[in-house]
Amino acid sequence: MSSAPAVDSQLLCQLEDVKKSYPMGDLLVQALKGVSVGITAGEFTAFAGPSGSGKSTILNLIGCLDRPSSGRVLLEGKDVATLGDAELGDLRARRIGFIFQSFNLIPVLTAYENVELALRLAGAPEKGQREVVQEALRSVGLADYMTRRPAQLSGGQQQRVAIARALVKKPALIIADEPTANLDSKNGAAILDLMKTMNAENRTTFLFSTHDAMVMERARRIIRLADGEIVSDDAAGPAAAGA
Amino acid sequence: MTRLALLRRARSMLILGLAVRNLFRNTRRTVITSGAVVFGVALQVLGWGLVDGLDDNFLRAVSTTTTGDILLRPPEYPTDGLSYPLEEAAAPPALTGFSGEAASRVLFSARVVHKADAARAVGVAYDPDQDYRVFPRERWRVQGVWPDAGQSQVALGDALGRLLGVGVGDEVVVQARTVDGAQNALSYTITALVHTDNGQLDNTAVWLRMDAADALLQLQGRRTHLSLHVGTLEDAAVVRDRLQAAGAFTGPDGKLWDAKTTREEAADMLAINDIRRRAILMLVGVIMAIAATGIANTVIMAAYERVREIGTLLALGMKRRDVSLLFLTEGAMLGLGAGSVGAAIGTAGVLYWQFNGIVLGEETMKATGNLPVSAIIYTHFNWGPVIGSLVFSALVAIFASVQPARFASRLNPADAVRAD
Ligand SMILES: Nc1ncnc2c1ncn2[C@@H]1O[C@H](COP(=O)(O)OP(=O)(O)OP(=O)(O)O)[C@@H](O)[C@H]1O
Ligand SMILES: [Mg+2]
Repeated sequence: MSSAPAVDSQLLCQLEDVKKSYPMGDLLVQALKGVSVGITAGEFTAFAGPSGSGKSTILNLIGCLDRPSSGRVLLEGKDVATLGDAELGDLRARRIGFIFQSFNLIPVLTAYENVELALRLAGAPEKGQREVVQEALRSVGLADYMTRRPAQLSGGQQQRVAIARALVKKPALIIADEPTANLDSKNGAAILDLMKTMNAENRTTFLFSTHDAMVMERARRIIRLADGEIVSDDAAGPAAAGA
Repeated sequence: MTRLALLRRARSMLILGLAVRNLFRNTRRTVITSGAVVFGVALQVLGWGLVDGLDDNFLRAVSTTTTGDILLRPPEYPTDGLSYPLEEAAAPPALTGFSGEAASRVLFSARVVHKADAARAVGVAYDPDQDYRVFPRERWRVQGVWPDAGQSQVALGDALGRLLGVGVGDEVVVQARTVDGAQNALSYTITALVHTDNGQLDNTAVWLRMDAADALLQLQGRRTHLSLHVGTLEDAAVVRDRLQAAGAFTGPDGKLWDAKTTREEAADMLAINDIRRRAILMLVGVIMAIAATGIANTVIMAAYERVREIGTLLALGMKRRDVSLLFLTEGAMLGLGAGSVGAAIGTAGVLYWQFNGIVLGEETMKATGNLPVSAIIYTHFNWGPVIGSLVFSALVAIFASVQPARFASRLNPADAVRAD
């Protein structure tokens, strides 16, 4: 893993010797200690590993929510380090969907408005928005819940809204950090199955993290992290994606 | 619309929509925070309406009872209105070229004696053919009838009458000095008690016809006051300047009479009201400062409570500038909303008292002593303080939101999306 591979234009996303450290008082905590990995379009990949191993950190970097301390993060062939804050925001708005552990719906907006918000922030034209939003909510099984506020929805339903919100702008990539951690196993499995269906139907790339064996079972590729390093990657290479 | 303009409009709509929703998410807090702004703005609008009303009241009180629109006095006559030196009386100018109504008067210091009681008074000798044309007597309350020609009759200010314990039909002696300084005293029958719009007159005036005054004061055609009713929409000061330049105010002896408009005459009293305005402004300023800390506190709390939500908005691609704008908008709406409620309350009060008047009680009128004020204050609505205080409250609220907006827009999205 020490020699950084050349830029591969086939890859949706590529990490080259990425390091990330956080200041902790006077110390620097090394959250990622030089990670190189490639993600191909259409993957359904889990990052696994014990607490503190760096799963969230790596997803933040791929999702352009944060910048690496060193190394390169390439998204669709573009070096993220060359982009300013506003451009990163644009990139997230148009190309990346997020699903969070705590759902993170905007509490003052209805399910419909939450999904619509993602479209509006992506700068989608107003024409046809209504149908697109309704279709997204229908596809996650919430056609009858569009006017509910998050507080009036169950955890599983909230996470479905979040999936619809991530999917509605047809992003290249959806990042989900522990999407099932706040759900019971039945709801968790349903959410995973829904994600998997979306992955199969739309060829949207899903990257998620988990502790949960049930979730890992459903992943097509599992990348294991420990102590800020990749300790196993069950895909021999990017070619194995979608197998 | 260009695509860029469309996008910009869509962004503003998004921010406005979110801001409105956020204001109503904690209604109780919003209402409590608004309280100080509502109070401050209402106070400002009401206070201003009252002081403007006091201005009106004062101007009305003097113009309809003592000055008219323009007041002329002999060259050396004191203009402070505190003394009435009859020796300065002079033959009045002919007012050549003036087509409005004019009324001449002679004011003099007097004592009114009834049996064992006596009171200091101000004699008001009026020209019965002119006086009512300049001063709207129909608005006064006259108990009895005005004195008749060729009779020894007077009317008294109603408060003066009460002070002396006299009524219509009673006899009083009026003591005064003649134009030449000689002591004189004559006996009169009271024919009326007069209540004008001017508390000062009601407390002190002895009204008598010019022919009756001639017998007491030996006036020989001399006068101390000449009041002009301009009767046009033209500014009194402009009319005064024009007439003065044309020589209309120069007496037969060639001396120029002093001419002041009512507003100039009232300058001292109006200045007192300006002090009142400043006091209101200061009080409102303090209240608004308190309001500002309340708003700052509310918006800061909103920002801290909503870290995860802000992180989510940033993750979804909202620009940092727009996050900042969102909080500033919430602050501005809070300020404008509360300001509007305050302005509405204040305006309602001002309009109510503009039509119904605030009736000052007997005691208050006594306390106003010799000030020429009317017993009914009509407030005066003006857009100025309404717009001013609305703008001010919005600015205060935006100012209070700057710090929270900065905090929110600088959050790191990676940390913020996981905040609890
Ligand atoms: N914002 C931060 N500031 C300081 N240290 C951080 C920060 N974020 C992560 N870390 C540290 O970096 C390391 C990796 O954290 P990370 O959140 O990526 O782990 P994780 O695998 O997602 O763990 P978990 O399963 O508990 O979510 C940990 O030691 C953590 O304490
Ligand atoms: Mg984590």
